Amino acid sequence: MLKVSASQTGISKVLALNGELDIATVDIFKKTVEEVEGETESVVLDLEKLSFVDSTGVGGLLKVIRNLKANSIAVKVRNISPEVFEVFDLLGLPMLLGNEVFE
Amino acid sequence: MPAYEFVTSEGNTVEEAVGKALKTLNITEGQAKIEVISEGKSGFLGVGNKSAKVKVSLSEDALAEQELTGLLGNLDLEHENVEQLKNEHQELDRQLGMAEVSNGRVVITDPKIEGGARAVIRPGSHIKLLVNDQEVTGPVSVSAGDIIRVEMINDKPVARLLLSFGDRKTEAYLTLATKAGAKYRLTDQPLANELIVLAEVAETIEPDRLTPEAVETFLHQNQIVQGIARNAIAEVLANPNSSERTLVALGKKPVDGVNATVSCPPLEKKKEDIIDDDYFGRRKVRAVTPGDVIAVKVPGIVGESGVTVTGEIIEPREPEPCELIVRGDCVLEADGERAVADANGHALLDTVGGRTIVTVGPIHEVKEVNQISGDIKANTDVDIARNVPEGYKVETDGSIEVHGFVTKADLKAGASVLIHKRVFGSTIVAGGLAALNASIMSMLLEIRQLLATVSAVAGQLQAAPGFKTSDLQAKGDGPLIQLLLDSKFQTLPEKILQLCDTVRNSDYTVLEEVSKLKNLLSKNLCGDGPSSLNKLESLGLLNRAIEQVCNLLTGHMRKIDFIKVRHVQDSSILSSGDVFVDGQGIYGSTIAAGGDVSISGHPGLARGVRVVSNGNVWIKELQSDPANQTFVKVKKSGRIFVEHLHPDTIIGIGKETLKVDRVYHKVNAYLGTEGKITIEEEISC
Repeated sequence: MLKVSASQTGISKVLALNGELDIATVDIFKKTVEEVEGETESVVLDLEKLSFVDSTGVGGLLKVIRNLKANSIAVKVRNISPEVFEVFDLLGLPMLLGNEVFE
Repeated sequence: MPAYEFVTSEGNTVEEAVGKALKTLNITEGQAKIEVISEGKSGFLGVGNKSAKVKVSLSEDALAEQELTGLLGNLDLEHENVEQLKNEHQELDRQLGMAEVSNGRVVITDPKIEGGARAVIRPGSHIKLLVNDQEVTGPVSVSAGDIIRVEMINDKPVARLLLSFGDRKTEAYLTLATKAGAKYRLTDQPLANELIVLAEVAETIEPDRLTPEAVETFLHQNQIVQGIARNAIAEVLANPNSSERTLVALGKKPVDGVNATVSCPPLEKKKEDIIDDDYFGRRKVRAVTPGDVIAVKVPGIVGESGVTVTGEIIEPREPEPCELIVRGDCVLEADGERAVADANGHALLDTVGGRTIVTVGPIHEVKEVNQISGDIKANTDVDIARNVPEGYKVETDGSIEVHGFVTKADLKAGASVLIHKRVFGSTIVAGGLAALNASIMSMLLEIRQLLATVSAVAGQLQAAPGFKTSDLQAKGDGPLIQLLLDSKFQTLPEKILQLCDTVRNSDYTVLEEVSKLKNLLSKNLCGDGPSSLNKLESLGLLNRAIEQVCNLLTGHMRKIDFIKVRHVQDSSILSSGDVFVDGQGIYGSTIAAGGDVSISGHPGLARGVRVVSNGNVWIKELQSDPANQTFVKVKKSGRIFVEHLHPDTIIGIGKETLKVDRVYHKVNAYLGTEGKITIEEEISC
């Protein structure tokens, strides 16, 4: 299960992910990002309540962040749990996306 | 007598609540069954107070007593009878059939009342229970008249020898696994209606000590007859349950045969210093006159057979013959054992795998490469007196010597290349296909290393607590591999595409195996390919394929060809053997060498370069420039010697890389014993 709730903080769209980002839920996430993409120049992904990821899920997340960056939209990832960060770290995402993406 | 079965009551504390309830029920605490519903909590200054809540009822014993009293009261019996009945009631369960274990014996008593339940017994572990000579394994009802026998199931001590073999059965290893045994006895147990008959350890029994003779007998029973080591047997016996195997018998490994080769007497006469001005001359067979022996077959050496620990002979690998082929003004003599010049000219030797081709022909002399000469294409040595200007190509199976400049040109030699002046914006290849093979080899090794790391990281990921593998169970490992190659390992598909480009853009036709391998790699590891890989193990299979092709390639890489230039800029240098830059140095260029690389002139500067060598590297001064980071890489056993090493350059040895942090002088860099790059300073290069 995954719930994505969107809110506005300053100039940023904040997307809070609650649940698991996996093969079953990745499309929900992609769709929500597509919806806000046109309306903002800055997206914050709040991963505090993201408990698990699988390959498809984290692959989708990587694609989304790359797309946003390619469209000159600033991306930040915040409140990531140590467990999920370990996965990101093993995949070299901090180096790939830039350490500044992770708050 | 209280009218309630239970009451719930509240108070500031549990005690207070219980007190109220007891008062309501008019019973003592001893007669009560008390259940605490909530503990109560006192808040700060009375704010947030929570009262304690309890449920109190008459305990079962008290209830039974109360009922009896009521009953007797109605019957109006004597007081003693009341007491008696009450006791009997309390002992009601003792009227059942009972079992106990006392002094190592199972004792059964029958129920004291008619139709009462009989005792039930069943065996616990290490117990064999027989009732009237019938073994029982589950619960069984018994009477005092039954014959009950109990046998102990004792643990036997274990001492087992575990035998394993190594390397073609030329090694035998032993470990000794031991486990203490135990004798059991019955555990005394009090009266109960249902009883599990239990055993306890009475005595532990150490396994018999094995004698060295018994071990030898064991080895003989396993047909091991060769090279048994007595002291190793003693070691096995002294270290039971060791995690390491001990080598107890050693056969003999076969010594493989040495393949036949071709030697070249004119070459061997002049093996002196590595770098001097005569170097170019020494690496090829110079002018020959009729009757000169150019090449001689050296017969292979037959190997020695080995023997397994069980006494079987292992045949050694047969030496492979070699082939000597002559072309041009050259003939075979002595039954094809010797190649001899037939006319005046230059001789060339080309060895690939087990085959050596000797060619004798005239030198192709060119004064100047220009519109009149056009591109030069030859099959013998080419000597160019002046320059090779922009846009021209020089290609030959032999060597190329240019006495002037090479500018934006393409030089490809089957043998060595010597350029006396500056090379700018050009591509220089020495060793032809062998050079290509050397560069393919170094790419394949990089790919193989990356692949191995991918597998390792995939394993770590699957073990990470934040990672789910539900999609992998449904779709195979493909998504995981795809993810890794899209993220941390995105250089891997890049490297494979680079390999494909190299093969495609080359003028030489690569080995069929290389071509197949590159297709296999690009299909499975580039683009969306990985997502259709089903299992992580596929990566291992790909790696094995790479290894096989690498093994094949080693037979197709010669080291005798080399490139010697004075000054290189913005060029690409590819040599199957060594590369020497003995003038100003090299800037913004790449060098790939199957052998050593030496940048030794004055000032001998290498800046903004990428150097990959299969041997060692000597450089006078190494630095990066803002546009091109300098990278020097050698294989695991290679060394990098630099007189002045500047920061921000990268050194790679084996799979380790190191970014240089400061200026070093007279440096010797190699892979230390712990697998890390070691930089030693102040040694003479």
